[in-house]
Amino acid sequence: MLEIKNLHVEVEGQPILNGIDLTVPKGEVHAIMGPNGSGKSTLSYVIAGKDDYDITKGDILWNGESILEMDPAERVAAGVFLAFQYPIEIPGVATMTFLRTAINSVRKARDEEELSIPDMMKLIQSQAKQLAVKPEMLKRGLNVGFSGGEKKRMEILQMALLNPGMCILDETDSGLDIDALRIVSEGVNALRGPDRSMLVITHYQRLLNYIVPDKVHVMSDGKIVKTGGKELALELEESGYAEYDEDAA
Amino acid sequence: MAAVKETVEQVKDIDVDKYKYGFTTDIEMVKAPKGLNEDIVRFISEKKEEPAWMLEWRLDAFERWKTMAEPEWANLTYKKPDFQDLYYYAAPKSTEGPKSLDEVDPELLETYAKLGIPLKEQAVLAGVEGARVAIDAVFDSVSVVTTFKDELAKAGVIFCSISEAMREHPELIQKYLGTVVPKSDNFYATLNSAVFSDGSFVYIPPGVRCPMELSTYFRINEENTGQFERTLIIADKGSYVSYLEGCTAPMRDENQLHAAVVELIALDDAEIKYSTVQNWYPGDKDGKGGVFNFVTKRGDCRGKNSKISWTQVETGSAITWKYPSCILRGDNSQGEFYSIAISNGMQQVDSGTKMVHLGKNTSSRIISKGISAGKSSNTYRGLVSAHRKASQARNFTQCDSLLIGDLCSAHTVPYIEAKNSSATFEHEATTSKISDDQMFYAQARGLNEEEAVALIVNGFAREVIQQLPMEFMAETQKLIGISLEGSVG
Amino acid sequence: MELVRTPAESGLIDLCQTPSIEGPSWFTARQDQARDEFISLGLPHRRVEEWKYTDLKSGLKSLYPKASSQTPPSTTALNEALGATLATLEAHRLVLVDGVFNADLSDDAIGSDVELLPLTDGLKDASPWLEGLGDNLGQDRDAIQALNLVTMQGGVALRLAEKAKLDKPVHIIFANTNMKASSFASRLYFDIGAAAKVEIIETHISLNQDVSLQANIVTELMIGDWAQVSHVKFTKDTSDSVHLANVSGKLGKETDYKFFQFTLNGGITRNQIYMRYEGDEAKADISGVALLNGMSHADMTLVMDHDAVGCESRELFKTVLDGTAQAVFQGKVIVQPGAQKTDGEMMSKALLLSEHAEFDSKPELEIYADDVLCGHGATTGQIDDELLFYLKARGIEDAQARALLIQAFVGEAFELVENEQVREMMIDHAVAWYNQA
Repeated sequence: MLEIKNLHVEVEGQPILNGIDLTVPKGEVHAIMGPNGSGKSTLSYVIAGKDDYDITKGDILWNGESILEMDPAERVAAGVFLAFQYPIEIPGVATMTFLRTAINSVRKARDEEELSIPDMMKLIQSQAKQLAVKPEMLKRGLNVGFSGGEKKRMEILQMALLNPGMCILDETDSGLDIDALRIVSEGVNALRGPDRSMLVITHYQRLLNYIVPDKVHVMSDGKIVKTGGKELALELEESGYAEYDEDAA
Repeated sequence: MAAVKETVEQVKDIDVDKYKYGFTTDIEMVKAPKGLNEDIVRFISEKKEEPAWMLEWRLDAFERWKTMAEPEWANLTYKKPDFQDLYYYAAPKSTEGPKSLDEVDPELLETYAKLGIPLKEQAVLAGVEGARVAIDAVFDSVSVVTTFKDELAKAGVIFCSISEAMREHPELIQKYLGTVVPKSDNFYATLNSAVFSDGSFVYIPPGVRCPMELSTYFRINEENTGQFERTLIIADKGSYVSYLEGCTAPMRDENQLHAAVVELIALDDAEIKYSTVQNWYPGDKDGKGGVFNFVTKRGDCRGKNSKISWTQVETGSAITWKYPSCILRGDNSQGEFYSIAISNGMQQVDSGTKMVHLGKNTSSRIISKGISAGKSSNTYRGLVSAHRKASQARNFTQCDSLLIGDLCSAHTVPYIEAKNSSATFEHEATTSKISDDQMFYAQARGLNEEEAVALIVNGFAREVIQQLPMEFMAETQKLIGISLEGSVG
Repeated sequence: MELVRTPAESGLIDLCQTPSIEGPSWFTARQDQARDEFISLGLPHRRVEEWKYTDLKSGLKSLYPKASSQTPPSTTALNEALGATLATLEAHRLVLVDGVFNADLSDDAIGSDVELLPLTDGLKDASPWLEGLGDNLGQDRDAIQALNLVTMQGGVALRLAEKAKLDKPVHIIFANTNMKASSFASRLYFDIGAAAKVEIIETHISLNQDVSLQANIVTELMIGDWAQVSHVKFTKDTSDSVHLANVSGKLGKETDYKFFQFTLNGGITRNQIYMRYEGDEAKADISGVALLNGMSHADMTLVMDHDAVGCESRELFKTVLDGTAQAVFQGKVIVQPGAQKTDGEMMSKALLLSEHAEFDSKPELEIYADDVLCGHGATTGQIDDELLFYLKARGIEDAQARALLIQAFVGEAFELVENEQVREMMIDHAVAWYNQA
């Protein structure tokens, strides 16, 4: 279970999050929707542990324990994973090398046995196949020369391989055409289960047709301003964010 | 396409004669005897009615200069000037005594009018209506007039000749002169410290945004006369000033020497923008005559969040030796250097900048566009350094050379020194020629060869031209066309 | 101005008085000239522009005694010192023990169209193909090259006939057998016939671990038209060593020369490269990796001198600095009048890991022809925080994430090493280095 309590965050003295309260129980999928600049991406980075953010008040608990003092790698080992809106390209690091390193780092941190190279290859290849990640992609530099859809599939592949209890998906639908969106969503849905929670951050309702949430939260000006069932997403699609967005008026 | 068309029109307007500022002015002059010795230094100081400490300062510089040798590291070949065969002081006789616009010799006013420099206070410069520019006009060794002084004084801005400043504001001179370019900095700067005869002085008080552009116009007229001017600009806390410098000289067969020193000081949160269009006589096509330009220009970002920006258009001079630099001392200070250096005929240019990062979180940007044509040689020489304590220093350098014809040369000599791990330096340089495709395209649209070259070169140098104040932009585009005449075909 | 001689300098001048090897009159004349040059120039210091950032006058504290030839090592001992990969490398071995060619440890049969001469005997016999030796391609010699010519104790010369193709690479091993710090000067000379093809692997090892060396090695390459040469060099000296190397090459028409330098730590290392393009459409690719920690100082200085039409030069250098290490990159591309259609690209990138590391670079262009496309780039920076966060957000701990990013940074350069075994060996060394950084 992920609990965010009265979270206040600033960047260079500028408040971005102004008291977020949010709980995602075990096995549930929640969506956060909101206009641009409402603080959605900041929230995802803060949960994942990026520097550059000052947490001035509040706490983030994962399974009852605060994760604020953990570094990003420790959070992943504890089970909190962020799929990036803009996955980073790292030329020179082969995707396969990267995946092996990540899997074994996480296993080591979780006191699990490291996987042998053949087991590792089997695991990666079988998961890759499910997400239509071609073997050539694994040989290339990480995310280098990947299309938008390929990058997002690679994020979901990493999510599957690292076996997190809490998945945060930041604007996973951005830059995807309808076919790519379907493949990525199928990958995400395959990972849904009673032991895994998800927080899906999106600007558009479209993604939520594929990944159907248990709850929808609307974020504006660094706060959760409304919470409802999946039908809330459809309402928003009709009415837009105008009523939540002071600046848009 | 509008901008392109405009450039083409401007290029068409250009007179065919090569250097249009080559006339001489006949005027009665007061000169010191030829040659350089202690007496000449004393003579200059006396003429300026300087305080005793200033004379001491000059004499000390002169003593040091005698022990120094001319630098030879630059990529320049020339016959070294005979420093004993020069006049160190030449002033129009009529300038002695008080100066106001009404009292200026009509001959001088006409000279500046011919140069397109308006000394009337309802000035319209380079066709830009309503643009008002205060001008300090320096003729050989002395400042002949400074315009808009009263209006500037209302804002608290001091803009006058440095001689006047020495008499009227000695405390500012004593506090700042020689603090950026020490009196024994290098051979030419030391010579300048001993014999400088005039130049401009600017002081912008705290929090003041200078209400108009300030400008100095330098004219070398006399034969065998060295021009040694000294400019000192101080932008006090939170102030802003934009300053323009222009220069021309008559066509003479002998080489004329120009060894200036410019010192800029920006205190906390202050900004100085310094633009130069240097159009000294470059010599004839065989390399006879022309100005030797040995200039030391340096800005000190002394205060935090200060900014100094140099923009230079170098088209003239037979020899150019010039490195406008920034000492980024204050935390978060910024330095910029934008340069177009065009060499044609037998001209030799060795120019560039130094960005010395001393404070924390300082940044600098260098954009240099060198254009070589004819039999000229064009060198960019630069230094970017981050000292041990200059954490988070950042520099971006882009240094492009364009060659026109196969008898010229282009050199790029950057020194990049990072002594701090958090420094981020990026340097890029390219050398290329005007592509045949571009030429063909322009010609297929009805431009003749020279127009096409001027057009393409203006495009190549665009990033720098855009940095110039409005008043200089159009003039510069024209000047590029003139400078490159005879470079093709 | 009166020169103040440092003790090391005086020692070197003494060494110059008694050359170790004799040769024909043209050689002696060049030696005499070089001696005069060294005596007048002395050790290079910061006021010599080319040596601005590597001051040997202050850097070369004392002169180590001249290496005395010890009992040559056994092949077993040599293999052990080489390490598994290099010991099993499929190659023709040429071994120089303390700078002097050792026939017993070397392959005697390289190929029917290859002539091999130890430099001592070869010079005595005055083989005509050696006449370019010490001529320095007609350029001014610098002090260190001059010193090498007078004080060289030995070396090896190799001549490939026209169209010669070797079945295996040539592995040149400089093996130091001294127990204590010592110095040597040695020389390699290659005369590569038209359309010949050769791969040279040059390694430097010590039979006794942690023995410091002062080495001065000059390599001369006369590369005939259409010939293809690949040259890879690896050094990992102790922190008290001085390694001064000079590679100069003359490139004939449509030649293809590749050079790769891997410098791992060391004391003062200077690799100076001069390539002259004499034939049209020649290509050279000069690249390398330097991984430096402690107080290592590594200098890569190169001049690509284009004097023919349509030639190409490519340079890529990656340097990673830790501790108080200092690296220097000076690269000059010259395009001589008439060398039209030259295509030159030079890139030098440095990654600074520690606060007190220093990187100085001076990429220069000197262009006398208009129809050319030349450019250079130089960057200095530290590990990118965005990349680091991304890796950590995938559960990779800090140290490992950093190691991966260093590997990514230099990886591009290692890919230029064509010999897979050698490349893997270098990467293994590199990975061990990243993990300590």
